[in-house]
Amino acid sequence: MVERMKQLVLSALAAFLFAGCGQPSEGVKRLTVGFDADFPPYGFKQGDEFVGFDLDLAKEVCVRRGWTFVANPINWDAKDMELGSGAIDCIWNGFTINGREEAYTWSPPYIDNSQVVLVKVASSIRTLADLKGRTVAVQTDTPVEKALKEGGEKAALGATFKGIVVTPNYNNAVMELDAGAVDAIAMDMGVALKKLADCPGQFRILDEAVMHEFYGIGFKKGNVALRDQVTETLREMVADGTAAKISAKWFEGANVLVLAATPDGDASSTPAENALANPLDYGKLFAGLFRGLGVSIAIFVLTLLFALPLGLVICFGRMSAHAVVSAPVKAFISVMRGTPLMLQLFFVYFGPWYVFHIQLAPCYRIIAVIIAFALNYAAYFAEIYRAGLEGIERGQHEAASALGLGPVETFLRIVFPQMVKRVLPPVTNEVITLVKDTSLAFALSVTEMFTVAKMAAGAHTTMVPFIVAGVFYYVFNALVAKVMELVERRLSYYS
Amino acid sequence: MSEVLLKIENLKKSFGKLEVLKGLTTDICKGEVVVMIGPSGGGKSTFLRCMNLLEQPTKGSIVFDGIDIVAADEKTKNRVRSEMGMVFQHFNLFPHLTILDNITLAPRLVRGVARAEAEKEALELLARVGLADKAKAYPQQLSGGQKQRVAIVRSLAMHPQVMLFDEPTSALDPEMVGEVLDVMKDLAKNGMTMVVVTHEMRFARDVATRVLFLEGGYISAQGTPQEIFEQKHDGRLGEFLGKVAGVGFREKVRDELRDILADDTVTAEEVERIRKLLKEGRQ
Repeated sequence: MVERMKQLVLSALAAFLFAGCGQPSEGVKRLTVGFDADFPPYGFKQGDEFVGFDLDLAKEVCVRRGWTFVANPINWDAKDMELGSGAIDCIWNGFTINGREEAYTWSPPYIDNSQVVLVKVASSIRTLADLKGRTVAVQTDTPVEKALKEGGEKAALGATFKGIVVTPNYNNAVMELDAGAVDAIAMDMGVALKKLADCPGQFRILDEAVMHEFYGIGFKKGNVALRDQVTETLREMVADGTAAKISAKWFEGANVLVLAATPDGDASSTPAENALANPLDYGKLFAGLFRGLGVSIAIFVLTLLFALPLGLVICFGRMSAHAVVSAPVKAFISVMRGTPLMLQLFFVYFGPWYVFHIQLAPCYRIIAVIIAFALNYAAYFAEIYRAGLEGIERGQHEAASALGLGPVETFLRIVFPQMVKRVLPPVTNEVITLVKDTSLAFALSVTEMFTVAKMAAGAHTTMVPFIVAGVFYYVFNALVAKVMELVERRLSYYS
Repeated sequence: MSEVLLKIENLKKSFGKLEVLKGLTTDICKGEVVVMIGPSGGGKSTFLRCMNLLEQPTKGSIVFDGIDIVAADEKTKNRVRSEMGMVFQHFNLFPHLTILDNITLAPRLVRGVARAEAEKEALELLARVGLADKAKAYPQQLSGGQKQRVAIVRSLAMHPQVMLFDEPTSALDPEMVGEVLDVMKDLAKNGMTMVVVTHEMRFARDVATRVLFLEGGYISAQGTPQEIFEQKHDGRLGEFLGKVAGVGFREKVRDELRDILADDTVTAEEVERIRKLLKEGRQ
């Protein structure tokens, strides 16, 4: 009985561990589709399942070919590493061809996805010209972001804006629009339509599109065989009407497909404006990374400036003999340490709008980052300080007391200097973590160094920016560690 | 009878349900050297710590400078504490400050003495206990005996009216006890009012003007050293002195050995002295 239980548990464990990484059973080919699960209606999570237009197409292809279908949600920033390493077979997820022509082996374009502008229903913006002097959100690493910021005729349009806010995903962009922090979003038509359908009466789409672009399925460069197999089956699905049926299911009855049943009917995938070659410019990359590093350092310094003293105040509250004070402070520390910092960033930034309906001023973005970081780190510092204070011998307080020193003098002259020395090593740990945590600021669309690296890596399909950013972080941290070591050595005059 | 410095009446102290002091009454007069002896847990240390309010008494009164300090506010308590020196078993020097700063901190902050003046006095006091060369050192660089001498100087720098000693030699290695006791004897000779909790019976016998025997939360006997140590006693005091007689003998041997080892040579006559002493002890 016990043996059988053991076997059951072991086999269940093995199944769990090796699911998804073992070889498929003999003779059955597997198609692993990589997609961004935050991208309805192409691929997203509904209940416990990944669903969407692209996934339905892929599933049907697999059924027809007798392959095993695997939907693999990926981090969009890591898509090239996923594909390059063979962890996924293709990126099939409203994936824009324009601007990435040379980076992948592409299927023919199957969807015409115009980049449109989403505004609130009540907005006074009617045309692209009305966007002059307004703030516009775009998702990071999308062709429209590149077009508005970097080159071609669309950059001239981008230049009329007051600012472009780059958000980590479309949901954030819509929250920003909701809260009044941006005036419009330049986004994929398909996603915009879905938003319109989900929130009727709240948003509208401008008649004028920013640019036209096409979606394709991206395969690892050179994987022509798989590309051809998938394309062939897709064309069959177009020919027998199955593809149109799937489109109707996800796009309110419309057929968005532009793929023809035969190769001669295909749309052109490379509009002139995006055909520019896009080699990695190291001068620009370093300039961008240094600007990002400046933002990272600003977040780092301001966070410490507020969090270090605030931690002491929180520590006093935590150690208060009155439960009225200590209980809420304890709860605060528990929440700050028990929830993700990214969630706290969202709460601090979007909270005023969603809770009190206060319109968010543009400058509040960086302020919110500093507030959230300072509160979070202060909670950690408070606990470190408390350990430091409690470790100081009772005799020190008694000796100070016996000499007639009051509580304030005792703290400032006797307890505090000894506490500083004690807490230095754990504080150094936190400070180094903070250097790396600054990259979380991108949750609120603040482009610090890591975000710059992600954008450059996405735009040029290379890992070089990540490696450079890694070196920058390392040097930054090495400097921090060196400074803390010097301080520690200065305080080692007594033990 | 000389002037009363501390008038203690019916002092009680409980920790939770445990009553440690059950009503103590005594006067500490100017110039007295009061030594408290007694078994562990008898309340000696608690009584001493109540005198400068490191422990808040549960009941009773302590009148100092005409005010009942038990009932006083925090500010008054701080002022009172600054007028009583306290020397701890574990020295409690401030590890992050130099010896000089350890000594001058309180005079400057509490009494408002200028730095130069405070340092001048600190150096004089250090010279008095033979540690003038340690002014710039940190506590960790000192031996236990040196630390305790500094702790005494730190208290003296506040010009206290009375000095409280809480087992000042208990944490010391045996060879360092003497140097601390010598400083205390010197203080007593110069008229300092002292209250001392100690297990050093020789010190009690030689230096005390009055000995208190605390046991079970009461002062169960008191008298001059002669009355306490040289008369026969019944009950707990007799029992206690019987036990510590051995301790007294050990101290005697220790002091003798210290004498002998003071120079580098051990003569035959000195060996004979020790042999005789040990023989006495065995009887």
